[in-house]
Amino acid sequence: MTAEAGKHRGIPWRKWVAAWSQRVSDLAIPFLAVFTALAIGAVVIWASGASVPKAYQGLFEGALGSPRGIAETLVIATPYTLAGLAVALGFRCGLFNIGAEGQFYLGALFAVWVGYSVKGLPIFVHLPLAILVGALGGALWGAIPGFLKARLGTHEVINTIMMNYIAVLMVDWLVNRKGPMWDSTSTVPRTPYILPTATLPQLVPPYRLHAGLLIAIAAVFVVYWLLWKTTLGFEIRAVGANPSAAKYAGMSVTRNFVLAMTFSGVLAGLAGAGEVLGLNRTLPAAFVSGYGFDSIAIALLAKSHPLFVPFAAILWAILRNGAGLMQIRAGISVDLISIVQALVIAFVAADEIIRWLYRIGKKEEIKEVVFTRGWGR
Amino acid sequence: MRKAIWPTIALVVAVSMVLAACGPTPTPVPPTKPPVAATATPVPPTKAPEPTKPAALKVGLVTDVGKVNDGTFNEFAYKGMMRAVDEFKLKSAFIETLAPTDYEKNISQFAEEKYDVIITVGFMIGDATAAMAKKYPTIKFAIVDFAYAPPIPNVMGLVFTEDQSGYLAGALAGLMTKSNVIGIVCGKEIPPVVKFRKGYENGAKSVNPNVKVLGVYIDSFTAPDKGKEAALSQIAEKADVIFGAGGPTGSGGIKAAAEKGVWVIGVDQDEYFTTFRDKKPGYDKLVSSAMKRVDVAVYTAIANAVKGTFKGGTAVFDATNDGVGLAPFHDAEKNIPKAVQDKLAEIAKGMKEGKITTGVKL
Amino acid sequence: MALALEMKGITKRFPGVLANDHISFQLEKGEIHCLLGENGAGKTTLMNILYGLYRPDEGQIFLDSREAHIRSPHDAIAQGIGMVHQHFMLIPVMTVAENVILGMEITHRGVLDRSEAARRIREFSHQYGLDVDPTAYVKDLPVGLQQRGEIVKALYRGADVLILDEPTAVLTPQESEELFRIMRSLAGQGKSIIFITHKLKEVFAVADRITVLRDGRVAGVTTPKEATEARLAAMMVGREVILSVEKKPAQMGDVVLKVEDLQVRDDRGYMAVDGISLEVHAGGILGIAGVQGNGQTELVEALTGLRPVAGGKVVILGDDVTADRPREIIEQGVAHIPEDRHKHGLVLSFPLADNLVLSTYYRPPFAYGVAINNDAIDENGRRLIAEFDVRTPSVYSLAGTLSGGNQQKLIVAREFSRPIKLLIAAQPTRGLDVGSTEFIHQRLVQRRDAGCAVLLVSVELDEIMSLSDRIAVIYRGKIIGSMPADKATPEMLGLLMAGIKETEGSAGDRSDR
Repeated sequence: MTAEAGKHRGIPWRKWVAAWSQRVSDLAIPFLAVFTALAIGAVVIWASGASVPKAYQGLFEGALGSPRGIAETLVIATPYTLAGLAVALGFRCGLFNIGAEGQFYLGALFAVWVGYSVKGLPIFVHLPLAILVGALGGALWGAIPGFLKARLGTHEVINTIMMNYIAVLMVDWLVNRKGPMWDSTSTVPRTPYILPTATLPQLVPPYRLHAGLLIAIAAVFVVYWLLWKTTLGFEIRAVGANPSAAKYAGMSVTRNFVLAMTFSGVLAGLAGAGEVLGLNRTLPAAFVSGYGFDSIAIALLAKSHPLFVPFAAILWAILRNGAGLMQIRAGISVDLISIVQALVIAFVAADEIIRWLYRIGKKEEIKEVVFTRGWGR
Repeated sequence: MRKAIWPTIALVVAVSMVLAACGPTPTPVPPTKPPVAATATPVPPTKAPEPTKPAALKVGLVTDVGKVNDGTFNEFAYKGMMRAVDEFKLKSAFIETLAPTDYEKNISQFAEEKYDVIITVGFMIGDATAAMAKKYPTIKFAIVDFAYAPPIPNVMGLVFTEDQSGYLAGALAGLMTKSNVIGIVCGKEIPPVVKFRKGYENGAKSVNPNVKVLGVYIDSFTAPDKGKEAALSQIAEKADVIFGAGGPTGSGGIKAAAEKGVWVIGVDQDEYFTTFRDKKPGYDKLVSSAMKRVDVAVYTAIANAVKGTFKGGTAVFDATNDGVGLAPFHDAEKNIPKAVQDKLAEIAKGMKEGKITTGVKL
Repeated sequence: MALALEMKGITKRFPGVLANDHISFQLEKGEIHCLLGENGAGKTTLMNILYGLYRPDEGQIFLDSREAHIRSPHDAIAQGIGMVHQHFMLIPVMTVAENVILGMEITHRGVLDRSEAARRIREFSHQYGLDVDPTAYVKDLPVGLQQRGEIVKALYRGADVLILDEPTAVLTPQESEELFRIMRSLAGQGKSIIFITHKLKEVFAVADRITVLRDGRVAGVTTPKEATEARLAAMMVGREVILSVEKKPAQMGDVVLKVEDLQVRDDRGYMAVDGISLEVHAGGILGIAGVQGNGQTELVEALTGLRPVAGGKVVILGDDVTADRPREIIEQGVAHIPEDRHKHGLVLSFPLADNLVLSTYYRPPFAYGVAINNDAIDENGRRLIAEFDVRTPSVYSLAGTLSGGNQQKLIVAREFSRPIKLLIAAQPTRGLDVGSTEFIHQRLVQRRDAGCAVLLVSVELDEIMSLSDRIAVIYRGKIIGSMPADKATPEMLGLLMAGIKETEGSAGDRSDR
């Protein structure tokens, strides 16, 4: 899909028109993948004895059928977008950042700490500061595995997984009963609530939708700009597509590893900061979100393209948000959602299946590594 | 020919794979009566509810992270709900929570669907339940394992005197041990678990002052292998009775321990019917389970709502209303001396009459 | 004569490509039949069909006049077809005998009988004049003998039709001669051989008959007697080509590149370059000849900063660049046409325009500060594509969609687009068709005439001899000899490439070393 990459510069309308038919079928793949996954999901629902129309009606009504549903879908899409961008950026540099969950945690931890402990600042100072520090936390958590890879050649997959554990357990220790950040007035293990001056405002009260959404939208364009309009992005993409050629051309492969992981961490950290500053206003011990891991699927679905990430994020948010009403209406397990998600990913990753099911011609494909080159590098 | 046939085959394969993968998940758990339910209905069910109610109540259940067939809390809360649903002809639904960040969303889903009673499961969902209860004051909430101070008018906190249950388990362990070393494998260090552990320690000491109690908290309720590891290391330190008090984590511990041949005690429900169902290896080593009747509590809360006797505050389920207690000895009975059985019965009776206290305060 | 093999109307389509278009091919018993064609002409596809790796969309195959259905290499072997691939399929840590009997082990009461196997194979190979020590470990053998092992393996499995896929690519001229002798001996004993190559000279040395493929079709069938090199080249390319390089005498200037006692380790830590000293002058081409794998790759990588130097010194225009990073060396005015254009030369998933600024993207006019100027990059791309005649729909096409020749032109265009003082060209025409080779050769000479110092590393002796002003031969990481180009003969170079200095005697058979 780096095919997209090449063409994303300025707005080459003529090129687009020329490649229109090809493009249509390329864009059709994700939609057909979703459709096929839902169709197979329907068979599963039917086989488990539940009502297919009830289930799907519940799914879509829950996610999109009311202002509240839509708002909630966007609430979930916000961290999904940011974390999805984080993983996508890593993929672009040939790195498999499995650590988005940990970076998400650190972003939340740093942001909540600034949010409740720094007092007496006006909102236009306090809120940006909390966001910034949250981003910094994520950056730190991303930079460490990036640095280890650059310096010692240790694989980022292993290190980011380790960093996830450290983040989760560290947060657990910090906010658990009797931990240093525990709010002793609460029976539940959590930090104190952040001050109003550090709170991301709600966009459309009374819905929970908060200004983190704007950060996510901005991040989409910033990442796009970074990747295709800057020398740094040029390097990151070159390193990701062919590190040997990048080195040959005089780029520092290791420096780009560190930078890409750091930026990746910033994005995941922002996702975490948004969750605590806009939604929870506290960091509970029970903070496991799954956003970091789902974001890998989102980046895959978006083929690591920043402009596609929000759409993949919204799809995932629809599935997650609609799951509640789907269960209420049809009485089936939430597992169905996981099945549909897994099928979508399988069909997008192995788009051959979809091309062949729907007789879509193969595009002129060049041998290329889209996501990451194996484990042993 | 070839081309036409392959997609069909692929689809069939894909579907069957998916079916195999999802397995038996969505089969609702049949609302069987709990094994020892005969003695354990604190609120006598009036078999014929007045048909004056204009419409059946809608009851929703939000699980803790996990599913309604997880063999522990979520499942037993679900069973309690289904018993009430069958008995009072109610409407019900459940949402299985994927991640803790979804608690509020899932609760509000029921609220927006105008459910009358919402049951939430577990200590960790406490904050979310309180927030939602304030937002939807006309809906009745019941939460398993959480007590609010000050109480919230539309929330019924369903709490248990785990210390009593643990005390009985401790007494049993203290009487059974030969090595004078017993163990307990706990889940997260949250109040209900702490009460189990302290009760266990006090109960053991009350019958056997020389007993040494080994204990460990494991920071997860869903890590059977960690539980196993902990149990095996306690056995290595001569423990010959092990109490698993932490959902699947504890169950993993006692399963491994029973296979090693030491006495084990289950928790929450009668693990003879769950962990050791169908006489899984070690079933005859399960001396009892320290029960905490989540199903009874949930049933009670719903029954109260049906009858219009629902009240906010904290409902304590303890030895006096059979909310906690020991499960039968099952296949281990022949190896439990009469004297031990008598002593236990005596303690249980004393506890019921309020004469014996566990000495546990949180 | 009886036909050993006949392929009739073979057609094979790949998405978007017609790889074989109704190809008919006949192989007589005891014949050496040369299959000639440019890369992408369909030679490999045709042979893969014969060997059961692909199924043809149309067409039939007859073996001994009976229709054969070959569904897998296993089928092919069972029906007497053997193939020696360009990349050997032997297991290096096993002996020749073990490799040969692999899958058809000779056992004695269930135990592998190694000595019996070795004896049989020695006898067997001697019968075909293929002397190779069956007890030698493959990894210890020179490539020429490894290749013999492959041939023995194919014959031992009962091959009557033997396919040799570019077998001379890895051989010295002497080893090639030896191979031709073996081929003739095999043909004399009734084996039929399909010999795939794109080197015209070899065709005349060994072939009985020649089938030329072009664009998936048979361009003609001829014999060495009827054909000339120029005619074959024209058949391959589809137009007249100039085979020799026109060049003026060198106007040598100052030393641009000076290498002193350079030592470089390969990936496994062995000293691949072991004390090389050389000088390249402005306006001159130094050609490094040698059989592949004698340290050329490591030498070039060390000179361009891609591989750390273990010892010695590299000086470019008076500056010590031994420890410099690639970018610093590039900025000294060094251009590098890499040996592996897919690994190093191009980012295949990038558009042409981006590939053309791969080492200059950060400088004006392509970037100001961090902001990339895509218009300037595209404009630069359009200009270079026109200048270097890169055949492509547009500058937005991805590099991976180009043919090998166009990819190489792209690299040359990029490297020549900067002001350069030293050009390091490693295997610049490997795998290219005659037309592209001609183009690249002209450009190299043009640069040299413009005063650029050129270091040319190639395993193609013809290329070295026709372009270089001075020739050095690399053998096992050392320069084993050097001479002015006009004094060099293929025989002299061939001996040196095999590691034999003239004073040490003849280039005898090294099989029993």
